[in-house]
Amino acid sequence: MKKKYEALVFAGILSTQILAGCASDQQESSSSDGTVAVPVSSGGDGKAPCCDLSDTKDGEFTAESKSDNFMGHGRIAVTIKDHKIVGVNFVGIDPDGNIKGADYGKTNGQVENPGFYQKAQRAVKANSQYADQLLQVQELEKVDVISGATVSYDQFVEAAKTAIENAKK
Amino acid sequence: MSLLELKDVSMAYGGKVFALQDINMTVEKGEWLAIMGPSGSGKTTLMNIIGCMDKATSGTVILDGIDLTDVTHQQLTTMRRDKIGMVFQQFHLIPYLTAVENIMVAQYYHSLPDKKEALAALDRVGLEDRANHLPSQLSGGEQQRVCIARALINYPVLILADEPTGNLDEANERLVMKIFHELHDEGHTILTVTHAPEVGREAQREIIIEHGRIANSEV
Repeated sequence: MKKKYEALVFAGILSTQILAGCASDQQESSSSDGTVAVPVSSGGDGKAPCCDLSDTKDGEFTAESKSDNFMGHGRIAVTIKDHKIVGVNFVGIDPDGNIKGADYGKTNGQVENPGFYQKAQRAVKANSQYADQLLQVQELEKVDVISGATVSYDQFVEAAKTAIENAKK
Repeated sequence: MSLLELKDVSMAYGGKVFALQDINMTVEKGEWLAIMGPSGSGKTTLMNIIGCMDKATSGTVILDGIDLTDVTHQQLTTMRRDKIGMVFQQFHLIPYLTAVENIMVAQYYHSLPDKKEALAALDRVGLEDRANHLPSQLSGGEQQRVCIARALINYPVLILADEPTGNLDEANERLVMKIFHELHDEGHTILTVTHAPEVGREAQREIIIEHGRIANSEV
């Protein structure tokens, strides 16, 4: 009986939410094909203006993105001199705490699936490419996302923002 | 008895254009099978038939002991709801419901919603702390994990995954495949449809579809 009641309540809530969603869609959607524009919350967060270097101190500043038991995290070291970024090192850390390197993508030390290994190694390479990009363009917003390494990108941006903020303290 | 058996299954549009022709295959309980093939080869048509979303124009499909040949569309819907857990490349989450509500919808249409159980399903894929997030607040990988939780919630006999990593980056692809490995180890029967060799290779067995026919099958 209780479950039946819960189901009815849930159905009511669901209907209300669907109707509310439809109303919301009508407000948000300007597309003739009925598609709804929804805000994207990941992969682009780092594009917001940030990280002015004019008030930074000289030195090497390290930071990590937040740790995720499934995805691991990223660790960055940003070296700043005269308000310019003169060195960046970024590595990915797997959920077991290992730096993602030549073994990333292997299973028990062996390349069991070459396709996955190649993708994993491309992601490892992307980590250093993100670092190189930042060194070159000097602005975090101008670092381009590399296809197939969007999780690394989010980790990179989060860690880099924190490191640059640390340089201002 | 096999969990799934297809005998001489064909799908002809307009009686002339064959999307599938004389498909014979079986899937055993607990097996992980990959259906592979290029675009237009017929693998999605085959998935639609196995997933009770479409009926073959000829041949026999037996799923969990039930012959689908002469069932009505209503009965096919019931079979799909009760027997199949679907994971899609494009996720197909309801955008204005939270992660846990998306799972509870699947419960609602199957039997009764149970939030505790839905949260446990999210926990199973490492997303319990994201339960109250909308799909737009989740990354692609997280959305796919919600899809997997939704697919599992009604204890399906067959998990059918159409290009499950097609929209994911490397890290999320590894994670999703890890979850599939865990599900397989737990005894779930999984059928992945993919054009990606590295994803197909993770299955125990691969069937390759070309021009609507099975071109190769290896155990």
